[in-house]
Amino acid sequence: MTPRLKIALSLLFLALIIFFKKSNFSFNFWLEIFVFFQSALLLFLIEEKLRNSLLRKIVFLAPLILIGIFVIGSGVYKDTFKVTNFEKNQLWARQELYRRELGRLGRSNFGNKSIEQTKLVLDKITQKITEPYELTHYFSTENFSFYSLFFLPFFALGFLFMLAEKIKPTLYYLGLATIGAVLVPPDMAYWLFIPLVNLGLLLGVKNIKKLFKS
Amino acid sequence: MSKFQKIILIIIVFVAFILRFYELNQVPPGLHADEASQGFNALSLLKTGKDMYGKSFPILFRANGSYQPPIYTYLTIIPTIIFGNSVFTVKTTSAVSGVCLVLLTYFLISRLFLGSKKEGVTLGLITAGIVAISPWAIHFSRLAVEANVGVLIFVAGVYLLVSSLKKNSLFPLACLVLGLSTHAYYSERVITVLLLAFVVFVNSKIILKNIKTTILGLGFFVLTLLPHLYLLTTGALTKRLSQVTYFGTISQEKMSFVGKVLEIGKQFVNHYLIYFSPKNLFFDPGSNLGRIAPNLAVYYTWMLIPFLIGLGYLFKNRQNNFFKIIGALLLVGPIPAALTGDLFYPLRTLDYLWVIAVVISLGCWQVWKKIKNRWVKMLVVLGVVGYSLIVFGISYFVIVKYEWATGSGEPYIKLASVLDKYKDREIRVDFSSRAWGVGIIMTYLKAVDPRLVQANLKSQLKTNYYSQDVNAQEIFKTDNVIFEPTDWNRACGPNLILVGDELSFSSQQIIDHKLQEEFTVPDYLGKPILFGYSTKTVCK
Repeated sequence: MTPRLKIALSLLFLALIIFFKKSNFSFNFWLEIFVFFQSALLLFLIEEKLRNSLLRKIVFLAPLILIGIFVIGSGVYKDTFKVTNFEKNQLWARQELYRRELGRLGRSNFGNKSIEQTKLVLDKITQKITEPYELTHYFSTENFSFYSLFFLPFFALGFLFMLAEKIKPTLYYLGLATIGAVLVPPDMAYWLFIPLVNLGLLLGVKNIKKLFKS
Repeated sequence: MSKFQKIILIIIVFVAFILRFYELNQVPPGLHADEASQGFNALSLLKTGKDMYGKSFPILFRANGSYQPPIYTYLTIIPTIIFGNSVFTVKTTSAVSGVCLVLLTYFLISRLFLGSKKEGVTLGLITAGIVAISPWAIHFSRLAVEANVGVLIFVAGVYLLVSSLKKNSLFPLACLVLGLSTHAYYSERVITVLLLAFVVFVNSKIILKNIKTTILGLGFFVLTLLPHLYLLTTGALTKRLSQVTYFGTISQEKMSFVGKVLEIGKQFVNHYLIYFSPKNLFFDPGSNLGRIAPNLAVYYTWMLIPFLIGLGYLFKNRQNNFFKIIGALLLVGPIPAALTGDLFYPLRTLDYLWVIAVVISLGCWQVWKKIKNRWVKMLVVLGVVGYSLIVFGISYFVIVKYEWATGSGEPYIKLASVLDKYKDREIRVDFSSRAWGVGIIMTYLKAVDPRLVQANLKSQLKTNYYSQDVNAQEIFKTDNVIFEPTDWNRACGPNLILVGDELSFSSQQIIDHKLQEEFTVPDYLGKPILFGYSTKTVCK
């Protein structure tokens, strides 16, 4: 099989895999296009077969730009950085605990207000990115997951191959998707991770023979 | 090992010791009934040679409507001799196990890693460091939980098992230790069998080279499992499983046999996968009893990156024998917990969490090798460790104390000393689902004479000591205190004091029974949690 044919088949796989998602997920043309382009870019990033350095740079920057467009398109979720009255109360209650427990350090601005306020925002960000990192969103026997559980072994295998062979582009995309997940509304966040999932599936299918050989 | 590396190891062990022993009697607050029963059984064995039901040296301890694996209780006899009965005593066994696990992890990784000796020592130090500061490892070392001793014995077994692949004569000892771990905690009963089968299967050429040693080892393993076989016939072995699994619920549903099997399979897969979710491992603090603390997942969020790098390294080097075992443990580790109905319950997967620590360390080691400048390395380590400890300290030593205290029975510890002032009064403490296990907690804290407890509990035994049917509502009593649900028909007399929380006494009951407040027990913030009332009602 020629390299070009391989690439073409891979792209065909990435274009078609989206149709295997569970029926609960309605079809959204722009989201499907986004997922396809991102997974195709990720494939080129991982395969590293682009000889032209300008093209390499474009492929490197394109996922970032696409995520930027995705964030703008879906709207920045301002609540991530907004402290609610409930949280303010919790903050106040916890400041009291700091005063009691940390003594002089707790009474100073650094030990008390700054730490807790920074932590509050950090906690909110962490909470925000927690959901897309839930594996059952993508694979499970339940209806709320994106793909059937049947695909999980392929994804696991493909993802392990990505981590073992191409850790840098994998972490690069994971980082971009995570930053995107902080900014977009919660129900949109996991769309940013689906390209990675799709590529995992592709590499899983591609490498299954390799695994049995080894 | 260089002098500098020795100093680093000492620092790691010292940090592990501090994180596990600092304010051990106060944080996390309170004492769980399961912890108290271990402590009291240890005390009872020390003084009488029998447990609280009067059973001589049991192979499974009956307590709180279930059974507890025995090793933790037997080990707790040692701190009981040294420190007497206290919250600190009962948790010491776990804390010591936690520190030993850090040390054992270093030896295991540094000696069994197949790279150069220098690399092995570095990786060993990193792994020991990760175990020393990981939230799960600290938290469960500060609770009197059998699982923490279980993971120590299990890791020792893994160490010997992997060593036996080089030195065949160690195989019987490895089997013996792995067998012993099945008496330390429930999860090991499943994992050790699967691990041993995997290692023997994958390394059959090496292990079967010396057939005598292999038979001897497997014989030892079977021998250690014999008590389980006996307990299986009584129903006591599976009592705990029947309480926590989803099998019972599904079997009662109106479904065909095949439907039930499929449903159980579906539940198992869903529960199993939860343990691989990065959300549960690195982000989500969760809320159930088996979790860590507010704002803390089982691992720090930053550890996700080295975990992914480590996973890649592990997969790349999957032909390595040691990594094969680590990979196998990664897959079998969550199986016992997946058989239970709780969604992500770290307490039941400590062996698995330990393996995750090894994977994280592999990732950290890869990053460590990439950084060439020594000072940058030091700065990164100090920054990461410092950040982790601040996050942990804020959540664990400040917030937990206040947010968990009331729910974890801490006010009952204070009540124990308050009641000392009322030795001449008859006291009835309301025993409800909100105060589950208060009887055994107070019995332990007050160090009630084990002989009296044995006589009392023996009289309430309705089934054999080892049985599927275990009473969880036993009435405990000390000289002047009885722990039972409040019977308002008997709430009379000038000598009586009724104790309970705010839901134990309605405002109408306070008026009807002419209750007069004798004392209150506050929480850390000074809010009254427990109330003691005397009554002016005359007995008819």
